[in-house]
Amino acid sequence: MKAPNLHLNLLHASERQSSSPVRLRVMLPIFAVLACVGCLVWWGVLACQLILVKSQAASIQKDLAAKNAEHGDILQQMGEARNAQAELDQLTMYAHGRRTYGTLFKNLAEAVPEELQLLSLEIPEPPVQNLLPPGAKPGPKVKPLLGPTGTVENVSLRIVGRAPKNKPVEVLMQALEGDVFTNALVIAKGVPSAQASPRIHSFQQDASPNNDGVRLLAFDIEYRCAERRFEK
Amino acid sequence: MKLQLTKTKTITIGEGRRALSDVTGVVLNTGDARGCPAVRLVHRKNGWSVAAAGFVPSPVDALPESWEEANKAQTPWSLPAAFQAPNAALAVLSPNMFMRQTTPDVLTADLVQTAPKASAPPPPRKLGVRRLEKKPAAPAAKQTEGAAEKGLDVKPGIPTQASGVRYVTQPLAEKPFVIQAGMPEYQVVWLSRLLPEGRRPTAASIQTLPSALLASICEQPAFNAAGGTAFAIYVMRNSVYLAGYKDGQLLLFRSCPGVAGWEMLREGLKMRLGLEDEMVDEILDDALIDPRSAMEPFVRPVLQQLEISLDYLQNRHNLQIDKVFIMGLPSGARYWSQMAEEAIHMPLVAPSVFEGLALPPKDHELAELTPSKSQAFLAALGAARAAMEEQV
Repeated sequence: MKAPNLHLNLLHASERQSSSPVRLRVMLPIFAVLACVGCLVWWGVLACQLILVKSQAASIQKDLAAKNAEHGDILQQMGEARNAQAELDQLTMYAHGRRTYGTLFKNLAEAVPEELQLLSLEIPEPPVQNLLPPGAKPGPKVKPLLGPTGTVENVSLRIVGRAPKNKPVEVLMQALEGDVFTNALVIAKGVPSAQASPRIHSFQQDASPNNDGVRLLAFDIEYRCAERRFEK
Repeated sequence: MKLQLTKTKTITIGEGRRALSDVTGVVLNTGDARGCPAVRLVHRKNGWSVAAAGFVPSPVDALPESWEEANKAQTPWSLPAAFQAPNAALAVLSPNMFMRQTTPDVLTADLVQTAPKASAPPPPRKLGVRRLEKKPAAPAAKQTEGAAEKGLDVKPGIPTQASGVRYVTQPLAEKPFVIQAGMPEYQVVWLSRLLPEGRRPTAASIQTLPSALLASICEQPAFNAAGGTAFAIYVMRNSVYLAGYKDGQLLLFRSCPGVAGWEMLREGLKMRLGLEDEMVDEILDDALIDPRSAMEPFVRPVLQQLEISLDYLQNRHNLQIDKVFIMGLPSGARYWSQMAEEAIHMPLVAPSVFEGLALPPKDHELAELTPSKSQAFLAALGAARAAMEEQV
């Protein structure tokens, strides 16, 4: 037997209503509102997090600015310390570069023969040091360096005198080559004349006779002294 | 809507309706003082069963007679807990309803006659229901114009005439005949809102009373034993309907012309035999007095129409009907059967409405119901059964 087809339904499908208390047309707006509220809460949480991060960033920037100032102070103090250290080093270098000639003159007095007359003993002034900073031009605002740029300074002893004959001069020169002068004077022979020590500038007949009418020999000899080293 | 998931896999969403398996059939506007007959019919794998049957209080508001009445605020109607199935099938007895067997030619002629004229006054513009005002009707079908002007959403398969009558047609097993049932649009709209949304049950089906009767016989064991080929006389309060079935399909339907229903028969008996109202059923169900002579003026025309119908089926379809059911009679079926046997030599079968159906085990009152008393639930059962037709 076939299935009967006896349903003459006058109700439209669009007119059918659901018996379920959960109605789609009610639940959909509720779900939509809940979704919106969820989004708003989510965005609120994000906004709170953003504000928190911004405040943290602001405090970090504030700390950083304070630390930058402190860092500047530290750098300044370190610079001052470096300058002070440089001054100390320079003073140490000056202290180490100090040369004393008292012993030299004391021994020289004993080594000078009686017939020999010393007219002058001179330690020439060293050339003026260039204390300008590298690349700087001289001016009133330019602060000069604390110490010499060169670390080695040549020092010489120039002996000018007279003698009746050459013998006392030779004696003096031999005496100056003795051990007592080793630390003070430099003896260099057999080298080019510009580097030789002693170097005889003049050794000649003095033009003016003395009171006895004896004509004397005038000499001018330069000895190179130990170098003055500005080192620590 | 079809969604193609892959090249070979397609799913369909929202097309077709799921078969109903739990429906409460209710008959409205019967004029019965006891209320509205209601039957809750359930279909499970183990068969059909009646979950509840009884009379429920009638709706507060009466069936409207015009659009103005239909648009008034409606008092929600709810059924007792035992009848709160997910869906309800409403069978309505309305003075404005109709049901007939006809042909497409007649339907076309009716449509031409009921087409709106230029001078006709415009129908009401709006309904009082927001949901119905949403979409204007498609102007494709001429017969839907009247409803379209009312702002109704008219389904093409269930058209509305210009006169404001909503109708539905179905082809019969005998072509080209169709069966047509209809009711005023405002009554259908009112009925669709009678059971409020969100509470069980809601209306899944609205049928005219005669159309609800047609499916009531489907689960009768005697009907199924006959292979679904049988004839049925549905005697209602004010009318009598004849229906012929072949292999379970409706082949013939007609309203018995010139015949009133069982109420007129009872009134006649009361007058002829001088009975009080309470005595009529006793007389008709007992064998103390033979009331056939008093019944004959009422029964004879029905039997004549039955004979004509059986001859028609015999001659036209070469269909030999061996079984004729008489349904809906509250009493006196035995005498109808005797008179039929005398007239056409064929007894009438008057089974209980609930025969072949499992009844609720705790409802002794329903189990002890006599076949005559059970006829009050015939239309309710038929309405529920028809609404569940997709189940079978």
